Amino acid sequence: MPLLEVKGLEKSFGGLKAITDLSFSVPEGQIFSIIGPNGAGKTTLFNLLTNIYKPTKGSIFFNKKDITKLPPFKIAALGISRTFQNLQVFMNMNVVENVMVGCHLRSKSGLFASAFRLPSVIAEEKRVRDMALEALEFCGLKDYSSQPASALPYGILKKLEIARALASKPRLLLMDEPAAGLNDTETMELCRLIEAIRDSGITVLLVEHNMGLVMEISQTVLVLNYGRLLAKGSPRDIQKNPEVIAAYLGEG
Amino acid sequence: MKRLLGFYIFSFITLVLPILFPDNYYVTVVGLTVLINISLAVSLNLLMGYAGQISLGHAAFFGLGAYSSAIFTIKYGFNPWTAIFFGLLIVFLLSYILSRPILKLKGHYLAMATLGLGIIVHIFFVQADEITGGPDGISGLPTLSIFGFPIDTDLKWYFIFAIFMLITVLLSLNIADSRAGRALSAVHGSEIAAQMMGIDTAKVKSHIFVFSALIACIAGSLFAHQQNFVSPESFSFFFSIELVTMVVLGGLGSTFGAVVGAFILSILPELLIVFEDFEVLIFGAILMTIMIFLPDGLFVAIKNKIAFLAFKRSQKEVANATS
Repeated sequence: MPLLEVKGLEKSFGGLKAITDLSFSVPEGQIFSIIGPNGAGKTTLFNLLTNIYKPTKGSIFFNKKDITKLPPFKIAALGISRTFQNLQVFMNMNVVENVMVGCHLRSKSGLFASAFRLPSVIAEEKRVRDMALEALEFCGLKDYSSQPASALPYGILKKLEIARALASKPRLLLMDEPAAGLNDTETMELCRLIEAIRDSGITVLLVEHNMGLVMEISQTVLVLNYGRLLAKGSPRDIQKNPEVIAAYLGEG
Repeated sequence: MKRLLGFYIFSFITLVLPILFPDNYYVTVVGLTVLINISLAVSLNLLMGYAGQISLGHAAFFGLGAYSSAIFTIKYGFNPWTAIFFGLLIVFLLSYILSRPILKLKGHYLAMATLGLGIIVHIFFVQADEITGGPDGISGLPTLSIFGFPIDTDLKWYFIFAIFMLITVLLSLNIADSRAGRALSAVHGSEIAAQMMGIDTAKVKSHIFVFSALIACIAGSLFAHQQNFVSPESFSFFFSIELVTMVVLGGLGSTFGAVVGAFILSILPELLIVFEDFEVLIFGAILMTIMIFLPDGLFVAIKNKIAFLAFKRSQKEVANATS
């Protein structure tokens, strides 16, 4: 049974169709990659899935539930989390606090209880910190926990976003170009990390330009071109597909 | 204990000052202004510093609290505490209804909308003279009493203001270090990421807007009773700007930053009186100098500097220990 199902999705910005009649489904437990040339609509697709953009047409089902019109914070509550292509780390906080925000859905103290620091808040605070440290350890960031986010290098911030997303214990994790800007060693580490995330039972939807990484770890690859589905299949099939080769190398 | 160490020291100083200097002009007269301004700046910082939502109309809620107390006690003969309660109710409803549409706006547009709110409320104070007494205001508020003890001297008012201010500071410190506070900082840091972490950003912003308005409202009621008099001047657009300046001067996002900013901005004009005609000029020059050289705000810049020095020292100790 698919975890995520997209049916006839369409998005146009004015006259420009960024996504055209796109349908696909993501089975649970996979690393499912979306590739395509620049401007193919990959990030737009992510923004549609999380309803940061409203689709022009079509519908999205997560775990059989229609999420097409839900606001992003409700989609998150159902178990979808994501990282961003252009980092969206909370630079005004330190590392562990960033990840503690990720635990928002797994805790519940409101403004009033927090302001008066009721006993329940103190207990929850400790629990949330432990959950955050666990996520940091999973991503190999425990040593950075008390550092301000603004002082950290790019590679660490990329991992921090992953830790923050994992802290919400999602069922589906959308990763938007996690390897962009990373060196070879960091990319290798990232490969292992993504596999570990999948092995922990989280389905991963990956947008990535690094073909080595995509082909190595994905079970399914979907190719987008000009907002349309060009091909879908195993990494091996995709590498042999003539249309995909043409789209990437230019038609001769 | 360690978390609130600064707060305990600050409370001690605040409460001991009037015992040591009960007749000092700077404690019992200027001190009252300082205390009320600190409460207001700290409450504004919740919205501006934590959640990153500017408000140029904070004085409106301060004024509504003051006018509610004056109108309900004098025109309707309510008990002062009942009047404060009604003031809170009005401000609660008004701020709650306005919060969602206003806080949908961002940046300059939010500034414009809150500015408009401040000005409209001020115009209401000036123009609706049948209710508000117009430009002359309303005088003769009854004395406020707590459990039968009348608050009738400046020294007593000092303690009331001080306790109110300390509670405000404590609530603000508590919020900073909590799930609610982190949600606000997340909205400040990246609204999209905050939503993806499951934060209902519209709700969080609206709650803090209301909370901060309610604190300003109580401050207004206390202020009105202490002054015995309300007039529109105290709640003008200029006062809203002054509050914003306090928060920025001390350091956006830091509770004690707001405290320091409010303290300096309230006490500096008093100290500069000796310069007579050049008072305002020097005042402006000092503010500009601070903001040019310490753009993070006075308190935050100093705090960061100390943290940096402590970090360097610990590095040195590690180096010494290993060599």
